[in-house]
Amino acid sequence: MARFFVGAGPEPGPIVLDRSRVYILPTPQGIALGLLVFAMVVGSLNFNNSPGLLVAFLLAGFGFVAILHTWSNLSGLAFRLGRVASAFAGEPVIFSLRADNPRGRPRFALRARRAGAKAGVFESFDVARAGGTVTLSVDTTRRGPLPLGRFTVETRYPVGLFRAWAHLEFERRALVYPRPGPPLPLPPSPGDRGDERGRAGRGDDEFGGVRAYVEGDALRSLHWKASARTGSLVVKQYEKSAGGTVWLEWCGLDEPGVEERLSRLCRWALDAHAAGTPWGLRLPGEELGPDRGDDHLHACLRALALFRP
Amino acid sequence: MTRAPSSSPYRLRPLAVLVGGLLLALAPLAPELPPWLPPVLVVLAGWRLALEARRRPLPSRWFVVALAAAGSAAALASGVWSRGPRAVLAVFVVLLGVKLLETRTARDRAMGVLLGYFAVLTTFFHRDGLGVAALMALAVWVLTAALVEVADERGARPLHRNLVLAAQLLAQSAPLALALFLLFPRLGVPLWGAPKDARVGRSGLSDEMAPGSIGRVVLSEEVAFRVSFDQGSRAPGLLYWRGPVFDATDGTTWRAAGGRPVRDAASAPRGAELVQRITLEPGAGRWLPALDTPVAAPANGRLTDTLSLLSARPVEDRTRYRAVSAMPPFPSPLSDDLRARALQLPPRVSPRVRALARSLGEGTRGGGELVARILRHLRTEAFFYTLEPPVLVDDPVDRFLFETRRGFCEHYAGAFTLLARVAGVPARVVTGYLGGEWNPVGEYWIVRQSDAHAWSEVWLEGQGWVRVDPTSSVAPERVERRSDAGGPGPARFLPLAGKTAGRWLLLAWDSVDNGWNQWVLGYGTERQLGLLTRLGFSDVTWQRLTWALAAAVALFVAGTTVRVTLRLGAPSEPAVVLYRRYCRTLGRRGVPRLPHEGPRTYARRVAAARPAWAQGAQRVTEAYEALRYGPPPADRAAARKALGELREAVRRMPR
Repeated sequence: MARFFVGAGPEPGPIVLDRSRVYILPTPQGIALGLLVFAMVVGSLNFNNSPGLLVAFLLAGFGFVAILHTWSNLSGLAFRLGRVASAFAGEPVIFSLRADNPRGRPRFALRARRAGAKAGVFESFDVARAGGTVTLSVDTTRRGPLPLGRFTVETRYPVGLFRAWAHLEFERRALVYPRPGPPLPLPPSPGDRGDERGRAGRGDDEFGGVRAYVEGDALRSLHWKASARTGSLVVKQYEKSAGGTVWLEWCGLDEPGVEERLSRLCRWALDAHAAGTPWGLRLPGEELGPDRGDDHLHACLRALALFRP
Repeated sequence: MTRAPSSSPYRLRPLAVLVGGLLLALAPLAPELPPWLPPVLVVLAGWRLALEARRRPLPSRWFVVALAAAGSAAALASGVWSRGPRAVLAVFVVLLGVKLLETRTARDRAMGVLLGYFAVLTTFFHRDGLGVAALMALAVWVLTAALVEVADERGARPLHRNLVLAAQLLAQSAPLALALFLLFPRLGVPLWGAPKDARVGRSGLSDEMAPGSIGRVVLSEEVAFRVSFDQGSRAPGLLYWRGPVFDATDGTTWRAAGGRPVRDAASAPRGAELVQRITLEPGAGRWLPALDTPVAAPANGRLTDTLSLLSARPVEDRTRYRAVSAMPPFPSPLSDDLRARALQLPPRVSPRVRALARSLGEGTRGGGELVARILRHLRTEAFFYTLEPPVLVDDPVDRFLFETRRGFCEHYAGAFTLLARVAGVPARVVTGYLGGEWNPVGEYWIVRQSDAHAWSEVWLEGQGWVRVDPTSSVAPERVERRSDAGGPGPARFLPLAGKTAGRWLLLAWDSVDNGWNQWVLGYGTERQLGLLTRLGFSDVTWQRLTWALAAAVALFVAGTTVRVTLRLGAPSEPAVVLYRRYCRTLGRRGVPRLPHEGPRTYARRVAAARPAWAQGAQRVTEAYEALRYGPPPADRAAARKALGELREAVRRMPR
């Protein structure tokens, strides 16, 4: 019974929707059809109207057949998590849910929604013979590992009279980076310590053009205006700076709170990455870099996300 | 978590299918509605579709409410001059049309489909012919397809596939519908009263014979009733179907004077009875026609003292009854009451008529000779048979006999009966039908309103009531033509050979229609018991019926569940079967495919683990991907070839 309401708890996946996982109940339209059939049967019996009775009984059989078809539109699919993108706190985590279709029968008009989401909020998708993918998102508020929570996949296809559904909950978690703080100049690199301090951040921000988006690019580096203009995602590229290594250090930050400090470091990490100079991160008990590139950035963001004072 | 279903509310196709289904369901009701309503409904539907196609917002709620109120008021006003239930029907149709204007969401559309199903039922309450049933089957199909269209919320499937799916769903429901229909217990007595429309404007035998009344009836080609004879009962050569008998006259109009019920015609000869099964279409009156002369009352009617069958209730629905007749004449006593009624004269009989009757009756011995003389008079004098006689005012018999001399059966029967009475022979007018058309496809007779006829009956000492058809003296072909349609017997295929193919098709259709009437429309408690008895159930009770019903439903539920879910479990494509075999083989040899691996990833891993298999795995993967994910093959041969390549590649893998 607990499974009916809350599902089976987090699982590693893939989650195969077998008989014991797919539930089915009539929709309001299904209940309305039931009442209509009842009224049609009583009315036709009373007035001895044989064709009316035939139609009423046909619809009764139709209601039953609809249960089977709705159920089998969901049953047998195997769901697993696809790519789970990391996100900054406050931005949604976007991830994909992959439906394998071992029985090879195409499925139509499935919906995936977060448990507890409002009725009208869902992603609709079809599953071809070879399988299908639906992209979902979860809102975030704070950094750290985030359980994706429970999802419901459901369908009303083919006639909308019944709703079959199943609960999905995966063990895998998304990683939420700290929310980037307000822009502030980067700490000076050893090479240009001194009076040039104020220039360092700006000077390296020289805009160098755009290139096409590839997976893994930080969302912040998207050039929104250009993307909107061209219709495909493009990211800003900055001139590589020839400056020295920048160290982003936990110690010596002005902010009083842990989260504020992490936000500041997060912002700096992004700026330093964008600037293209080699940079490093020093946290209490941990030192990363100096290095450059996406892998380095993500390793640092990960350290920030999982940081425990 | 972004998309709400209302974010893209404009979907023309499901709405168009829904509107199509609704209009189909309502089409046969058009004659029942106020004449302005069907065009208004079509305009509303067209407007709604145009709004959807142009992605315009729907009219405001106030407008819709005002339109519904105005339409309903107009429909009710139309109902003042029509009848109550029709006004309710008109309001229903108005509201259905207005409802389209506020059909916004998928839920609204699904509810529209349910209203459409209800409209189908409503139509069946007003029209029940086979043609209408075929149209309603189409409507249910289209409405169900609309339901599929709405549920296919991404519009991922082409329309024809949704139509096919709807047909499949209904076909899978049909066995249960049939079992329930055959076995569901019927109500003997209605739970509440039936709001019946009086069938206005339907032709049929009436309760009186006024000048021109039969002339109106014979213009209608509507079926009056259908008759099959029980085995052992052979139809006689001339088919006179007896309806109301009129013995009271005021000189212009003939009416039934008494019509008191009797149990049966006591003097009827036993043994030579003709048993008929008659299915009477609903008509104007309560008369149940039967072959001349009925001698016993059917279960739902009674026999009058003038030997007509009278239904217990007005015939508002198609009625089936069993009639038993004996060929006249057979000796029967004439009571004083009947004699007085059969000799009653109108208050004024013109001297010319009296003189003619006297001269014809002079010197005759017995009524038989008088009858022969009157018939000879009609035959030898210049009387003409026409369906368009001159209009006769005051004393029509006198004017017909001496001035116009043109008329059809009612003129001749009326004039003959009056002459016989003036001459002192008890006589009366019989109305009914003459002849009919033999349907060799369904083996029954079709009698139409155009076969309506009137003749006379005289009571002769020692013979009883004798049928006299004065029309046959004037227009013998008129009587003979009516009976040349063939009949059951050795010669029955001869007339058919002369019939055109079109006529034969019409008869075939009529026999299908008759089967529908008998087995679907007429399927009630009686037929239900008959069917179960034939299936081997003796002593059918409600309890047993319920058990049989439960068993049938359980059988259907189990059967359909297995069929639908087995189809789900079966591997759908040979390519998948072959590819799985390849995975199993490699798995046994130590390189199992992991659950998350796609074919290409797997092939790469196989190549890395067992370089010797790399080429084979590559071939299998390419063939499999081409079959499953590539463009569909051009034709069957190409598909077979592609599958053959995969099979060959799988076979070459190490075992």
